[in-house]
Amino acid sequence: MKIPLRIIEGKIFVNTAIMAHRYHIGLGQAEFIVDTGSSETFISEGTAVKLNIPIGKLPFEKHVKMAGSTLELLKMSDATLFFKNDENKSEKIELPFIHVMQATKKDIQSRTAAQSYPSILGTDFLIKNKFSLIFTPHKNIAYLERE
Amino acid sequence: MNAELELLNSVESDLEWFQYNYENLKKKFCDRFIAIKKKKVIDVDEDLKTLIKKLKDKGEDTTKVLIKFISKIPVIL
Repeated sequence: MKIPLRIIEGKIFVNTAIMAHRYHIGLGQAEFIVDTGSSETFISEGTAVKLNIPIGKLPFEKHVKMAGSTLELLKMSDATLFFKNDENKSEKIELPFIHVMQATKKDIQSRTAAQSYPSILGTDFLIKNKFSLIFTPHKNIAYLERE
Repeated sequence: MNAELELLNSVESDLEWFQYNYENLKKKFCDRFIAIKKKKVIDVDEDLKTLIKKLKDKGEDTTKVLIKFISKIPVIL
C-alpha cells in the first residue's frame, strides 16, 4: 500500500483528514510535513485553531525545542487519521493519542509565529505504523509505503 | 464515495492548485494566512484567528478549508 506525497518548495507534504470524537472534532482537513528530522508527530497550533481543537482543555505532556523556540506539546487522545492511497481509497489509522503544539510565550508575536508553523509527521509515526518513506526529489517522487 | 475520501480529494485539488500557483501567491499575499477553496483564494488575513472568524461569518466550515501561511522569509524547518 502506498500513500502518495506532494513535494512543495523541497518539503514533503501529506494531506490527511482527521477526527477526534472525544473532543467533538468531526472530520476536518490537516496537512503535515513528513519530517524524518523530527522524532515527534504533532498538530500545529494553527491547524488546531482551524480544526476547533479545544487547546485549553488538553493536558500538558512536555516541552520541546523547535527552530530555537521552546514549545509545549499537549496530548489529544483517541484521534483518527485518514490518508488517500494510490488506489484512490482511504486508509484509516487510529492513534491512541496525537500531540498538539502551542507556543510557550503568550505574546502576540510568538503566538502568530507558532500559528504559522506546520504540523509534523515525524519518525515516531513512521515507526509505529511501519511505514517506509520513499523520496526521490530529482524525479519528484515521494510516497509512504507499508508492506 | 465516503466523506473522508471526498474531503481528501477536494483539498488535494486545492493543494495542487496552491503548489502550481505558489510563486504568484507569494508575491501577492506575503506574510499572510490565505484560505483556499475550490482553487480560489476566498479570504486573507495577517492573523489566523481573524481569518477564521471572517470565514465563519461567511458560513464556511473552516475545518474543511485549506489554510496556508505565505512566509516572506523562506521556511527551511
